[in-house]
Order: sequence, then C-alpha cells, then structure tokens
Amino acid sequence: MPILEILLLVLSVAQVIFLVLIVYLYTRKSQEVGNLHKENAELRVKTSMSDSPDVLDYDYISMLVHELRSPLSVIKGASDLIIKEAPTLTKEQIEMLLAQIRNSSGNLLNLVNDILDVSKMNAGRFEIKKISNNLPSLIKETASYIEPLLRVKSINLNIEVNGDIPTFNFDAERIRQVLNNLLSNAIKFTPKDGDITVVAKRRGDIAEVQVKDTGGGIPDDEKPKIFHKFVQVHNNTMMKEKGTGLGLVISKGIVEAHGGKIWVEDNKPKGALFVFTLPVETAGGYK
Amino acid sequence: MAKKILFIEDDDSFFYTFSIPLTARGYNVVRASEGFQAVEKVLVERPDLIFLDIVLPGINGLDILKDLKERDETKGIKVVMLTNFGTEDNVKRAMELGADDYFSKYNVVPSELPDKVATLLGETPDTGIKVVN
Repeated sequence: MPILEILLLVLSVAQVIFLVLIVYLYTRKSQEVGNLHKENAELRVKTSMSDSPDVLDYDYISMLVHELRSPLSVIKGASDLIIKEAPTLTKEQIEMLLAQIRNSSGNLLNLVNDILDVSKMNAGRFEIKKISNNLPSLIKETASYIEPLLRVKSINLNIEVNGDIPTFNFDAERIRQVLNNLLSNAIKFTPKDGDITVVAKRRGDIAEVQVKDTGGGIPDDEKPKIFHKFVQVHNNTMMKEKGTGLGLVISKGIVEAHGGKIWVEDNKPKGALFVFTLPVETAGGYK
Repeated sequence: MAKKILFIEDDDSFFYTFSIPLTARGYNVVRASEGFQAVEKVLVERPDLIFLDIVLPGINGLDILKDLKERDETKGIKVVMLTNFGTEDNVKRAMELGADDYFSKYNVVPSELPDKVATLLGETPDTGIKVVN
C-alpha cells in the first residue's frame, strides 16, 4: 500500500516537527514562566499585590500541558495502531484513524498559535495590519465556515447587519479570529435547537458587533474576569467546559490593538451578549 | 461471554482510536461521554473494567471514582484512571480512593491496551509466545 506508507511517513515527520515545536515552545514558555514567577514574587513583595487573574502559575501550566497532550495522544495512538495493526484494520478504520490524526494535528496547531499570540501580546510584540475591508461580508463569510458546527446542534443563526457600515480599515484575518472565538463560544454554550444572533451596526464613528447566545449566561461575578488570562483555571482546575480560556484573552488583545473595546452583558431573557467595537477609520490604511 | 469495558471519556477521537484493539480482542467496549451520566451508565452496563478520565465536562473524574467506590453495587468493579492529567497529587488521590491503576494517555499506545486489560482482569495476555508442552 505505497500511498498509505507515504501518508504515514509524512504524518510521522509532521508529528516529529510538531513535537519539536511543542517542546521548544513549552521550554521557552517554562523559562518565561520561571522569570515571570520570580518577577511576580518580587512585585508582590514590593507592592503587596493581591492575587491577580493574570498570574501564570502551576495550575495553568498543568492545564495547558493537558490540552497539548490530548491531541498528541490521539496522533501517537492512531499512527501506532496503523503501523502495527494495518493488516487487521478495515479500509474504513484506516481512513477514520487518518482523519483523527489530521483533526488532532489541526487542534494542536490552533492551540500552539493561540499560545504564540498570547506570548506576543505579553511581550508587546503583537501587530495588526489595518487595510480597507468590509465588515458585513467578513461576518457572513465567518458564519458560513461555522455552519457545520451549527448543524450538529441544530442551532439557528440570525445575522442582522445594518447597511450603513462603510468599508473601513481593520485587520480582516484578526477580526475573523475574534468572530470565530465568539461564535465558537456561543455554540459551545447554547443548547441544542437554541438561537444565536449576530448584529452589526454603526454608532457614529464606531462599528459595533454583538454576538448573542441563548445558553446559561455568565454569572455577574465572573463577567469582569473572563477576558483576563487563565481565570478559568483558577475557578476550576479539572473541568473542561471552558477549555484553555485563551480565546477571549486573544480577542480582547486584537480588539484593543484596533483601538476598540470588548465586553459582555446579559442577553435578555437568557444567555450572554458579547459586544465589540472598532473605530471606523477610512483614511490611511496601514498600522 | 465477552468481558465488558466502559470508557468514561468525552474525547471522541481518543475513544475511537483506543477502543479498536480492545474490540478486535473480543471485549465488549461501551462508553459514557458525559461525566454526569457516568455512574448511571455503570449501574446499567455493569462493566468488568472502567477506564476513567479526570478532566470531564462539568465534573471531575476523581469525584466519580469516589462515588463508585462508596456504592455497594459498584465498589467491586476495577477502575483504571486513563488521563493526561497525571500530576502526583492526582495519582496519589486516585489510589487512595481505590483506583486499581493509573495510566497516562500519552504513555499508552492502543496496541498495548488489550494485554494490560487482560492482566487487570486476571486473564492471560496474548503475548504471541506459545508454550508447547
């Protein structure tokens, strides 16, 4: 089966590259964490800081390693099974195992990219490229990508875009990331057959985007914390509902890099309402 | 009758991958994907062995272990923790609560799992070595 052998070889090489990248990133992160811990401890002594949600701690690193190990376990396990048991596996099983490897590699790559984004934000090296873009088109395009996820839970997505939003300067790839994060969260927390609504409108010199879900909502005491790093881990180390919590941190960083704001409110009568704004700038076009 | 193995596991990919060699060895493999339904599933399925994850949606696997080991109907079932959350504290806590073993997902490959299960269930692992008298 030469094609399968080639595929396996490619996947094995990709796995090794991933592992090297992970080890490199994790080592760098660990060094940064060590330094941050030291600096943090010194700062606390100097300023009597109370416990901040931004602190990188052992609990957070444990959760991050868990999130990295999960797709790696599948990649390692599925490739091991194909290599050792190929003669006993059906064609469908081999195709399914290869699909698991591909999907897990994608999840791993997203996570590594998220870690890198947060590292850049922490280091003040996060940059955006503002060029002339169309926000309503981007919203519709992003929504079409998540359509399969909506179908799984039979969720109804309504998009209400006011026609008065002009083409203006923003980083389309980064704003797509914000929309993706907000919509993915909304899908995660909205029950089967629920509704999600995206509203985009212009208010003076800003464009405002709202993402409303019909899930359980965000408790008042958590609202101020959810855009800060790693707060989920501090709340509950071993529950998975909120993942790494990096998506909202990155979204906040992206929106603020554009000069906008992001916040959360209650959606009446039920659910959460995430809002972000972007300044409508039409001149210039590069930052 | 085939021995029954229950995975309490929310990760679809992991369950699919690791159940293949167990099914091929003749075990009856079932799954509870939601932590909250896990104990109920154990009571219905009456498995011979449980693989229990720790990081589960809405509930901690160690709480499920505690519940299982406190119930007369379930305390005799072998429970093996199968998780990527292998901190020393968790391993110690799981063993104190009565877990029969603790496997790290990233250290186990699926092809090795049937022999590990056979050993845990007191069966003879299929080592591929035949002893001729």
